[in-house]
Amino acid sequence: MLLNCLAKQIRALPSTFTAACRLSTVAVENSEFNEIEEPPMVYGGYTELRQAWVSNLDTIKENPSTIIDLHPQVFGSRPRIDIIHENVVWQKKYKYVSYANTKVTAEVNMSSKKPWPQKGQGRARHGTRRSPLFRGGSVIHGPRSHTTHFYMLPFYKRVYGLTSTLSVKLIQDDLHVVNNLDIPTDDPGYINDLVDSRLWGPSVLFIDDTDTMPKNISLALNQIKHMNLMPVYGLNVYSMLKYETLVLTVAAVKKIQERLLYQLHRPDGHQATRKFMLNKQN
Amino acid sequence: MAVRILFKNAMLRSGISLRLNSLIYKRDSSYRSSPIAQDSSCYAKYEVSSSPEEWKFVERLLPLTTIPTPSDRKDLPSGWQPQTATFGKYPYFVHRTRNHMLPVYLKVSMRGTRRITQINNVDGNIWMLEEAIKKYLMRVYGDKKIIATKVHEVCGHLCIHGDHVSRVKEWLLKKGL
Amino acid sequence: MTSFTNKYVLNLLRNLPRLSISNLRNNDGAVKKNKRGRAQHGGDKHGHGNKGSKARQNFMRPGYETGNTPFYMKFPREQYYKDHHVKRQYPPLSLTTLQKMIDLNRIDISKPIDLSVLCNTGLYNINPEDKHFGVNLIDEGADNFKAKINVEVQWASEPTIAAIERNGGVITTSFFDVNSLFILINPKKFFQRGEAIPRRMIPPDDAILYYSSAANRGYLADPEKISWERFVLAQKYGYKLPKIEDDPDYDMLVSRKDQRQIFYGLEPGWVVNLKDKVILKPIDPQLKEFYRS
Repeated sequence: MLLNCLAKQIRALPSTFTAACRLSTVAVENSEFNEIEEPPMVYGGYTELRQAWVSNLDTIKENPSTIIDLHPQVFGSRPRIDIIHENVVWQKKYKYVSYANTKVTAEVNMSSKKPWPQKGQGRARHGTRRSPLFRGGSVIHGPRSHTTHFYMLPFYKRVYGLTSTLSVKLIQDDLHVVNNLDIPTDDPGYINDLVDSRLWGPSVLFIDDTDTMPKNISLALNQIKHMNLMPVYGLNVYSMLKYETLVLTVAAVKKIQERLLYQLHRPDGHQATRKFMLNKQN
Repeated sequence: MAVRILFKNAMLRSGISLRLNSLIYKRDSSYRSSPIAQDSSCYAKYEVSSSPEEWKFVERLLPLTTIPTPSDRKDLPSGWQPQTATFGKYPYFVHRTRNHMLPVYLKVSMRGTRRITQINNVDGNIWMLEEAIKKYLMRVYGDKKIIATKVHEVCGHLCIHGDHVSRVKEWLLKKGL
Repeated sequence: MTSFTNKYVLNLLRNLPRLSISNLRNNDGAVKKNKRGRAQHGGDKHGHGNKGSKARQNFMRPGYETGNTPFYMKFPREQYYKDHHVKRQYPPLSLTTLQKMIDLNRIDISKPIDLSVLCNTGLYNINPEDKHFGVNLIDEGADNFKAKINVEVQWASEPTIAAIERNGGVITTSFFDVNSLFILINPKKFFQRGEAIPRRMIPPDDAILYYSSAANRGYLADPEKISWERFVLAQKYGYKLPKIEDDPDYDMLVSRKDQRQIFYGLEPGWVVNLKDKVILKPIDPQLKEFYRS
């Protein structure tokens, strides 16, 4: 069923990279590496955790040091392509305002005089030249300026959109976790070399937990238009799909998990699903 | 929700006038329409108390942010049982809902004539779960009922025609799911 | 970790092209396009026939029979539900649900239970705007109810009271006026307003008898009469009345709110500051006396 949905030519992924990723999931049981200290992630009764390598941006060559546990409800949830689609469509449409405008009969710039007398002419009877029947007259049911297309996607669709996209990114090997965003120089060439050597996609989205980013990476990425920095609160489905690779810092991963798990396990779900009101967002 | 408090008793036992009552309970409808705060001597004097015993009463009133984890007991009076099956025990797995309940629902439509039992949150090989449930229900009903099922692999739910909610729940609990 | 949640589905995606904005699609039938019919089928008059008010969007009001007395006015009215929208309503909460909440640790039974506790679980909701005046504890599941609780509800029938007292618990019925109710069901929202806790109002005339009677375990009833009624109910329903004086949780079971109190332990007049975690209490003797009256 899913194959039918995304039936396109299979594109071969770089074999060394995929091999490395697959090995990582198997080697976990015998890992000698120390895992990052975190509270046990059996929240919701899920014991089969997803995992990812934590590497660094300090050197061009990847140095995966530790393994981070990822909660399956956030990073291993069912990849609902239909929900992802609805989120993308929503993100595009809710901001859109259509400024197209057509004139209604009263607005057409013409005289409202009766064109010719009612009877005697042998012509059809008309009251105004502005009518939609006439060339140059008004438009029936045409667009009227400032048509907003605002709507709110149901709350849990937005939550599942985020979890589905994160899961898809992880399973398609487009999600990488780094310990922090510190790089040695502010030269954009460094980042370009790093991304090329690690076979990360042409466009990369770096996500940190706060909006103040380290100096070097900010200066470097300022000059590269297809690689961007984003705080956790800016995480959205459209951006995650637009950029080929997603790079999260460990702090960002923890924050995303904490926020999404809170929404998935809150007891007052009826508060979240109330009608959206702009002045009552909490 | 701004509700005006109506004072029916105009005079109190000690004889405080009505004006004081209305002053105590004056509540402005919005921040913008309310007057700017004046010197604190114009308002009632208060004492600040940070006693932990009293604060315990306040904390009791605040809601929890997460759903608490349930106990491991199997003999609870309500008949609820925890999930004991581990992921990987069966080729399929039925996750519990966020409130730790079984995700089996009865969908009634067509003015009550159509009853469908729906099992959500199915993970793994949903086709094997369908086979297993169908086999069980056929054994229970013999030839008396046709067990028609619908598998929705993308969404992870399984629908069975008819009202079999209690039997499906029994079966799932027997398996430990 | 050979097996993980959604393994089949996620592994399918490993072999498919990278998911991007250009290869997304919604489920079939999810979005229905409203297409106006054209040509022979669905077109021309678009299902509205020829002329008439129906084709010209100029309908007569529903039920109008072009002048003669319409059907809905031919017969006299029988107002079965007259003023139903004005009467007090008590949405039910069954003892089975309450038992489930207790079993799943949603409610802490080592403390008294009242409407705020029930609403904070998120599993039970009241809407005072719909004339809901509190919770009505019904006796569905009374046979399987096995919890020793101190519960304060707004309405309870005899079998419910018996079920709770049989297990060594205590049940009280009390009245909350609309303002107090709004405060009780969402205490956090009220504390964030920064207002003084108001006094709870006395029940209206048609409710005062209910809340003053010991048979209903009303909060205004004489405690001696209540203990007599407990004894009588045990005889009626055939169970041995447990002695709560000997119970280690005696203090918790016996704790009750004053008739002017909304929350346990917090008096009217106090302002709760959630941010600084302090309580502001009035000093003025007139104010103090007012709030104590």
